[in-house]
Amino acid sequence: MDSIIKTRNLWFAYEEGNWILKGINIEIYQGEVVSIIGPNGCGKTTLVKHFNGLLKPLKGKVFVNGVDTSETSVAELSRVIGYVFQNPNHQIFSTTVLEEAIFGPKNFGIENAEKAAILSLKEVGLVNKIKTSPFFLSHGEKERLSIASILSFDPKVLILDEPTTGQDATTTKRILKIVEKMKRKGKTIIIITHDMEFVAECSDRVIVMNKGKVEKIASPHKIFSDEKLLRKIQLSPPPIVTIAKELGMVPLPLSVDEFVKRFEKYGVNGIQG
Amino acid sequence: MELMAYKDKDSIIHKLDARTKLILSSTFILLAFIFNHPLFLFILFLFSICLCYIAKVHKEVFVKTFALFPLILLSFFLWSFFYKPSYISSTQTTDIVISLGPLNTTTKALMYGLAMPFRIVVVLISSILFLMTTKLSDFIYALKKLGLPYTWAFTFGLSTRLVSTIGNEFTTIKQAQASRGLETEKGGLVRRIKAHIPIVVPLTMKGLELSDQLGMSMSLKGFNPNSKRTFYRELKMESIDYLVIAICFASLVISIILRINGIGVIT
Amino acid sequence: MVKEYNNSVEKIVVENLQFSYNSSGFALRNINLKIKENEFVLLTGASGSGKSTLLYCITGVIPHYIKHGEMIGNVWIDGKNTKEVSLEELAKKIGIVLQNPESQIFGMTVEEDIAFGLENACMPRYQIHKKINEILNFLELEKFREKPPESLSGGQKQRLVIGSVLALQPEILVFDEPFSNLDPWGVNLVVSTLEKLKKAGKTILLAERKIEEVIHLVDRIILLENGEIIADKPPREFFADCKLIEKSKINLPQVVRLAYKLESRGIKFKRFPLTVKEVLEGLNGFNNKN
Repeated sequence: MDSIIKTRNLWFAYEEGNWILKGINIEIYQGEVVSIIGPNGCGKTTLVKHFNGLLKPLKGKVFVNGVDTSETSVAELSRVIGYVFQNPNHQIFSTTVLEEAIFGPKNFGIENAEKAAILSLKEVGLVNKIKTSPFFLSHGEKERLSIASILSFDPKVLILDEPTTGQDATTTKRILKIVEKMKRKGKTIIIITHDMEFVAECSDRVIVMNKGKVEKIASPHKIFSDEKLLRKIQLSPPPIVTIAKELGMVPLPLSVDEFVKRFEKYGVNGIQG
Repeated sequence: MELMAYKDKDSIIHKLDARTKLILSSTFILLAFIFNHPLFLFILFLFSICLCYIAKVHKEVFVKTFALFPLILLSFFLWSFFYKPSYISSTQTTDIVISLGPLNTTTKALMYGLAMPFRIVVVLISSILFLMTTKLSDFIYALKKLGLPYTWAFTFGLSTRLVSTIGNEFTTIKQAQASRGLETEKGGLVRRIKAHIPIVVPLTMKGLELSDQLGMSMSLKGFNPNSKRTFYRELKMESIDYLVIAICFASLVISIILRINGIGVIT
Repeated sequence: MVKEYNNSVEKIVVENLQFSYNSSGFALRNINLKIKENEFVLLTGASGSGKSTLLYCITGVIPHYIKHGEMIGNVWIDGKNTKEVSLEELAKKIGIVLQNPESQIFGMTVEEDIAFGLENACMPRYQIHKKINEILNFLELEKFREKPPESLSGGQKQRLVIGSVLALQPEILVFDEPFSNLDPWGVNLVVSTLEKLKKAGKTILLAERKIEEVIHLVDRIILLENGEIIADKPPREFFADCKLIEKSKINLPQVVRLAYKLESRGIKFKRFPLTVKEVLEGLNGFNNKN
């Protein structure tokens, strides 16, 4: 697999002496869904801002598609790395939903920007609100608009910064579907989140960060089985994982459906397997 | 945004009342203007450095003033070669000390040239020293004690906090739009101004939201600018504060007397 | 006509409350509820269901701060009608913690922030000092006493806000989605504070969508939809009503969703489980570790 993003001994600080990132070495491969978790202040957002060049390393290097980000502009990198910011209100400014979605493609000089925007709005289920003012959308609709306005210029990588925070269950489900759809299209997806259930359901790999360092990178199964790690960073896995652990289920189920299926299949005795 | 210049150290200066420090810094600045002889200003400069050492912030002050070194050097140059006050030219026009092409300087102008940088540096050091040794809340409280109405002081304090909050929002919004390809540095003035609309709109919305919520919170905490209130923070003057203020006052009086008698001035 | 409400055990009484911001419809209608002393009530519902509006009516923000709009009906806090008492007076009976800590912190240091409300109330200095000590101790914020609020983590900031609200000693505390801006670590900090507050005898009304974090503390759940109360029951009864739950758009705790699915496959629980522990107890017969 090709690595689309690679960091080599990345160090970064906003002010002198206060290192936020301390020697990060990670590789993210094309087509995978990676979740980044850790306490606020551990450097998740700082790390991810290096991927589209918003921040440049103080020490070490960051490569996107083999190119050193310190020699590339934010505009060039953003074309490939689409970053959906956490708070949709930080991006919304246009008079209609359509204009909001066209903004990106127009800036990048994409042909048929309007067509691309309408397509992306279809993907997120907002095509019926094309003429609405984005300020009158609900919180969940705003989040979907944010995602659409990045998808509209078809980046190879999609970064979602806490997409489900403060959202209802329906919106979370929709976002999960969008992630699955984008994955099928071959996009690489990086998600910063605190929602362990979301992590369990859609991640291929999980990067656990703590105090500026990477604690562990592994599949959700391995992360949620690592008692020592969970205790160290004081993190609880999703409730069904905890229940499954107590019941001795191996491997751990990562969704309610999986749990019930295994439980049903093996019945009262033989839960293992 | 590093607006707070306060450095927490254990020194006598830090322990002084905020009002005392304000008076101390102001005294230095006044003295720097009372005298204009380079020797006197140099001595004043040395005193201010000593104060920085006592306050244990000499390193930080040096860093901040070093950044302005080119400016200081330029002032020396400008004063020496271009300053020609009327009473100099009427006397020693032939006393040319240095000559650089069409520019020349007289002894007197040279002395001014030497004096001014020191004056600038003393003003700078006194101000930075004050900011580095005084907590912002103490400063605001001192202003209030010196007569500023409470609402003004409160607003000032709140604004300084908000400046960093809004500043952070601005950075985030700028980054969010840059991630959609917005470029704010390219093109002519009009184009650049238009490019800031996607930043200004969300920022304004955020600002309005924040002020509304703050207003609500303040009311919910019983804030009423027109009614009476008590104050938790107290600034107490100790004997050392009175001593320092007395010394400052005495220095000012002595300096004025000296100045009137022509000492400490360039003649 | 405003009548006095004399039952002292009932801390919050809402009678026939109706509110609209403008002519385009009601934000709240037919609201009737009573909350007793030391009860912990969870108010939930999809976004836009009217949770915040209801909290504003209960704490007096409506009609004292939000002056536009039309409020019909009455709210009594500890026997006093919110329309007749000033916001300053109400603040001593009922305190509210909003979502965003940034918009509720006014002090340059932690200590000063807690003092703010007390200064507004004209409390003498020595009393303020005592109160601050009590609160810093209760909330385990003593080591941050002289620090600027900006240096605190999200969870600690929210704790500070709780402290500044507690300073006026209200018996009733209201929270408007306090977890939304917090990470799991911050949520834990606030939940442990809520546990302490409940133990200390406070009456708590919490509006939140992250139900699973507090379910072990909740006495009653009130479900709001389109401005109306469609359910007001203890948690077990609340979740056992499948029909109700399927219709609503709320975020169900994963444990509850698991229980539903298991029940639909024929596994019956003697007591509908609300926590991990209760699921395990209910499945005890199936535990192959035994």
